[in-house]
Amino acid sequence: MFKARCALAVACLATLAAASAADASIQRYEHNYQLSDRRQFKLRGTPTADGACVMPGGSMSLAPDQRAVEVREVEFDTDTCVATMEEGVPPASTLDETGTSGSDSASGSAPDRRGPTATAARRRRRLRAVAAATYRSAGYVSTWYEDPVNINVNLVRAKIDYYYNFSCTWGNLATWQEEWYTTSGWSRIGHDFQYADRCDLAASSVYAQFLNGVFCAGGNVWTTYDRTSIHGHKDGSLWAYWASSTSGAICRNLLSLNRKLVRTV
Amino acid sequence: MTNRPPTFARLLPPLLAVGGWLAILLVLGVDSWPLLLGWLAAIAAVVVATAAPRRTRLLAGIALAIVFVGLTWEGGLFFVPSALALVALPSATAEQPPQRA
Repeated sequence: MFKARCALAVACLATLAAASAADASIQRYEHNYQLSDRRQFKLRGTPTADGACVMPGGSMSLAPDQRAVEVREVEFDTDTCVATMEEGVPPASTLDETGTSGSDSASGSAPDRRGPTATAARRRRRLRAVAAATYRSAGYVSTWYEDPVNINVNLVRAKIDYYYNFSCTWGNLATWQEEWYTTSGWSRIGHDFQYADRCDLAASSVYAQFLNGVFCAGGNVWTTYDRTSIHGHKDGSLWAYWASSTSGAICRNLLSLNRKLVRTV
Repeated sequence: MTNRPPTFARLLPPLLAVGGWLAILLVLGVDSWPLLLGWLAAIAAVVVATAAPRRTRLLAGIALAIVFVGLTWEGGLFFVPSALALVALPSATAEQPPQRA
């Protein structure tokens, strides 16, 4: 009798293990809202010596009359290093700038050349001079990793807010923001911010790296955002670039990458 | 003589769950209180499952193991040993034989 029960337990475990192994190479990621006008595409990464995959960067853009676009991972095959991505328009309710919960955060900005340092009168004069042909464009790009229960474990955001007149951009207020879920042991171990405020380009670009050495059975998992950038052009269009990857212990495969480009003005 | 499971065996799953909870507390400190609060429910589930009939215990152990792996980034791996102990417990223990009149 004892042997029979023992065999039952072993059989159950074996079935469970076999079922997991058959599907182990494919990770599917559920998201808590739908994208409209969505399309799917494949992204092929490069396998590394430690069994991880380095995924190529990508870009997305918004014309002056477009509000938002989101790209996210829906499936990842760890054997072939191929990710199935989904691109579409996120619902309006998700366009605010909320990030992780129970987290730590850091933010900053480039020197504000059109704000506190300029007197209000000088600013008014300058704006009047170019008012006839002046437009404003602003937006942000967010890149974040989400765990299986849809908690954002860390997030990087680059923002720009600039003026343009179809021949030049100026007055870029470039800012950045990073958040990480300290409640579950994430910490930030790297950061860099660059920006541009030139006639041909308004830009904000962030590099960040985060580490969790707690929740993957003692193994370290890194998420690296190298980099998350947003460019504003002289026709008011926004363009974003991202290149992010996970490395370290096997639990990295439970994290899915998401990116969103949103116009705020 | 009976085949009643040894007390240690019956206490093993809850003890492992409490150990997982303490491990999170030790590693992350009280800053992780939202997780610690949530994981009290997991300890309760393990305690309830331990007292359940053998087959229920086995199924609960497998189900909890899957849930705990899914919650890896919330600390789920710390509780997988307790779920596996639930699975192992039925094979290590047996029903008490019927008493003679």
